[in-house]
Amino acid sequence: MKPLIPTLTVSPPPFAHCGKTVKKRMRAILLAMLPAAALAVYHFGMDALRVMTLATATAVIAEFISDIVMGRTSQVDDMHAFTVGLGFAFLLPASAPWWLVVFGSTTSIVLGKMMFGGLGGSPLCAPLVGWAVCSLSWASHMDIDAAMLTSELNYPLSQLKHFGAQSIAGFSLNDLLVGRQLGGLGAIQTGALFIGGIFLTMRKHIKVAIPVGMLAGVLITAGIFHAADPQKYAPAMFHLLTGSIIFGAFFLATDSSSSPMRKIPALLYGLLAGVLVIIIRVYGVYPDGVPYAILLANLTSPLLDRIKPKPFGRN
Amino acid sequence: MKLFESIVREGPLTVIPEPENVRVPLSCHRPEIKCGQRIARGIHIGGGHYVPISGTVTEVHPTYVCIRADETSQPTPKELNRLSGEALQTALNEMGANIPLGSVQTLIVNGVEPDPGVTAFSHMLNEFSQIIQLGISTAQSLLAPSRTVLALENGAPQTIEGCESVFIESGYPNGLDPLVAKAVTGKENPDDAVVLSVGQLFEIGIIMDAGLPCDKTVVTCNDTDFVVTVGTSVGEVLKAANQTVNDGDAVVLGGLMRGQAAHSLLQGVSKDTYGLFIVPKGQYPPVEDSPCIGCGECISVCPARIDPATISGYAEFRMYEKCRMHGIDACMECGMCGFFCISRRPLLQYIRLAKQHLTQADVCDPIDKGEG
Repeated sequence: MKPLIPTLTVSPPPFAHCGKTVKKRMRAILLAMLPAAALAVYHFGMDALRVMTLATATAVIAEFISDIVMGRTSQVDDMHAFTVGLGFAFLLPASAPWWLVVFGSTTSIVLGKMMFGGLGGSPLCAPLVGWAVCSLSWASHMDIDAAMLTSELNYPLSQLKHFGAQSIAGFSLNDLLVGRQLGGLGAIQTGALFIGGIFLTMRKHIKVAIPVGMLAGVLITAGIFHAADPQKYAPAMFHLLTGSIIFGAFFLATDSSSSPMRKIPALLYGLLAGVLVIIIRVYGVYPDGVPYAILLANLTSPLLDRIKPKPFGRN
Repeated sequence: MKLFESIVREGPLTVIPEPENVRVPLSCHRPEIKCGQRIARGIHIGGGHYVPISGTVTEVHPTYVCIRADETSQPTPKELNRLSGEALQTALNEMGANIPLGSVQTLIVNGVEPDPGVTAFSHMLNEFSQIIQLGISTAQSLLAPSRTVLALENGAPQTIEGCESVFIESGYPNGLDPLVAKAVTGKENPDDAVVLSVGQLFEIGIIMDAGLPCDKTVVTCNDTDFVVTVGTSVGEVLKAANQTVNDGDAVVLGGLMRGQAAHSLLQGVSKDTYGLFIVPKGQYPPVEDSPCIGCGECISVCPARIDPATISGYAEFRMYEKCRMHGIDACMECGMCGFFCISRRPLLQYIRLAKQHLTQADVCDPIDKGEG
């Protein structure tokens, strides 16, 4: 048979594509995290850079090795592992020892992602899995106050937890916005992360319902507590700008595989995470509360995904 | 490619002269014709395909029939003007018109472009208004609707006498028949409404006018609308449109969202073809056999409100009954899920595969229902 000239490509429709790929999305997320990473280096110096590079490098290597062990073609070039590593680094104190960073980053990838079959399979947000394992195993190294004793900055959330609402008068909202506070090294760069989050939302890389729901959940719950007793409970804006709420709302809770897929479930999921953050901060032992709040919300997402409309024409 | 682009193209249509040789596409039929047979225009080849020009059969194949034009056989037009009611309907459907039976409340003329980048329908409304008018009055006489609606994209200037104009929000996939029916009647899949596209009415108009099956279609190619004889090879249309095809490109008959890929440049245009596009090799990221990452992009754009991510996952593992539970029957095959999938999964292909298996399972129980 003579060959057809020219040889045409055949495939089923659609023949066009919007052009967005996993790699491009990861690149956009990394770009959105870049200002916060730069501010972290500005505030914490080479220590922050050390933690971030170590975490990302470990994550990429861990994923590559997992792929070899699992006997499959590595997709590490989609940069998801890099994003997970950086997300994990953002939650650590800048003084975290190297072995903690390496262990946590590896755990994030192996236990939080590859164990479930890679990107898309995990029911939990990968960086938070690493964070949870580390904070349960080495509580003192993960404790921001203990780890950052030498820093001139303060950890507003532990002040609030241990000394009450009066003790936080010294923190101006501007200081909190530019990251002049302690906490996870990248997660507290709230202003920079907010700009990054808006960028992701405008480029439609994340579902807008999740950050909207989570921030609303935080503001409403914290507002109710504050209104009930302003002497005892911190104002809502203080909560919003401390710890990792902004980071969690835009970068962690929006993780594609562990969040609900439709709009209304996503909104409820965000609200639940937001409410849980404040409840943990007020009643729990953890000053921040964001990681566990999101992990708990992750668990509800398959359930929330059952809220769905009837297919077209089935009313 | 932009999904929400409204293009206006005016001026006369370019007519591509009737070719010497036509290749009529067939859907895997074994036609009752032989090589060398002289055949007149209008003869039914099989499966709703008709001879577009009189001539001699030069090649017969399950997927196409080639005919070389000559003047030896003359077509015999049917006198359709004298017929009415059921007799007219049968006669029209025998010539491939496909008009549904019975009377309806609303007849919707779908004048919205069927695919992004196509302008054939609005151009037909401008340039072939008499033929389309004839098609509409025929459909009206058969379906006896109390209301005839012309559905147009927002801001389109066309009007048809006796039709109430309804404007549809611009942008794909709002012009799909079920969505237009919903926009006009407010109900999903209404029983008492029939949607006929401008292309279908053009066909009915031509049949009424000539007394012979439709042999022409309007095709958008390279920003021009051409009047093309059915069976004209893709290559000839592309040549008329000054398009060149390179190795590895895809040539698409119909639109980029719902069309069909041509297997060779000799393939003929069918009567339903409204566009002809070239997708250069490497223009879009390649389709991959990659897992779903659960981002939900496909769900948010699906006009049928189903979950292509989950359905494609079930189809992948041959659990077709589960696909049905998730409402695969509601799928309109618009292609939006595949367009927006950032993993580049072949979502529509999986859905079609599952649909085909389900139909087969319904016909010949209990052979293969998958593992669901």
